[in-house]
Amino acid sequence: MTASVAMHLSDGVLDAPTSLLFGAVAVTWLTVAAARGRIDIDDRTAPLAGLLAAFLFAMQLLNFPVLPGVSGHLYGGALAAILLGPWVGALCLSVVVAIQALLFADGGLTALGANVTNMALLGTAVGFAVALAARGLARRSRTGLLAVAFLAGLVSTVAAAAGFVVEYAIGGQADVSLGGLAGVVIGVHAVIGIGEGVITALAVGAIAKVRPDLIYLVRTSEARQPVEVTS
Amino acid sequence: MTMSRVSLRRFALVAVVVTAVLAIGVSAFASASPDGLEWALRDGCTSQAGELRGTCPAQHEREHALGEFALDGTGLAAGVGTALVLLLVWGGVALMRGRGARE
Repeated sequence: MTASVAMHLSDGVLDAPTSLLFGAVAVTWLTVAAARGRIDIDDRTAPLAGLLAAFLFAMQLLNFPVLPGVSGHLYGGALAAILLGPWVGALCLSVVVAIQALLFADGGLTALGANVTNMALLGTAVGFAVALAARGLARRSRTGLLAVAFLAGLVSTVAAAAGFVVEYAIGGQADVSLGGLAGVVIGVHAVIGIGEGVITALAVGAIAKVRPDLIYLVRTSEARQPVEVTS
Repeated sequence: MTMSRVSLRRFALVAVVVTAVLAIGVSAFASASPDGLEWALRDGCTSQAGELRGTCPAQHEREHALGEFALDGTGLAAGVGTALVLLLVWGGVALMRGRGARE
């Protein structure tokens, strides 16, 4: 019963050195994110980050059907990146993934580094890169913003899945065909990514309607009021 | 985009209500099917009495070390987790700002 609720990567799928390696990757990345993210923080960031993290936590528990007998859930990397930027977004989502592993037994303890790397770091970074590349379109119209949010959500989900495939290639514990695994994992996440894209677009669209200034991706520099540290 | 903005307080209130409904409704709404990753990793194995048999990427998967102490997927537990995440991240980012804004 307890084993069937696991949704993130469990312990024992990757070997110990690989788990350790991605633990180190996650710690390094989060240290950089904490340093760089500080510049992005203004009065609105802390409440928005808290609310978004809570929303993502709830949404990650809400599996939606994607294929017969297969479900998916929101990862949230693109949404976090679009609303909070890539650094605060990554920190926010890391807390979500860590709490799931520590309190809900969702995602193994030794696999925490890999889970954080895939969902919170890769998902956020790739989601932000896609959104940033299409920022002109996102600023032009509401339709443009929704399209960019959808695309960022879709690509970030596939990127998180690809991250796992790379980890498995480095230190997977079972003797299975890597090409086959890559096809299945990335294929199913491309379908989940459509759901991710739709939810990301809906959430960004709802916020754009009432508080467009809260969307990191499209707010103008004067709206952001960066705290210039003169030193 | 000049339009009447809702206050941050009202925005937060609506966000909390939406999130609470999602979290507490988890057990009622969520699909019970395995998620994409779990499904892909168990492809090739069969589950017999909780043990994975056969060859699949997850065949050496271990039970979660804290499994027996873990909160379950009920609405109440999800609500507790959601509230905890809200406080941790809100407080953490506020602390980051506190240190960063010192000039």
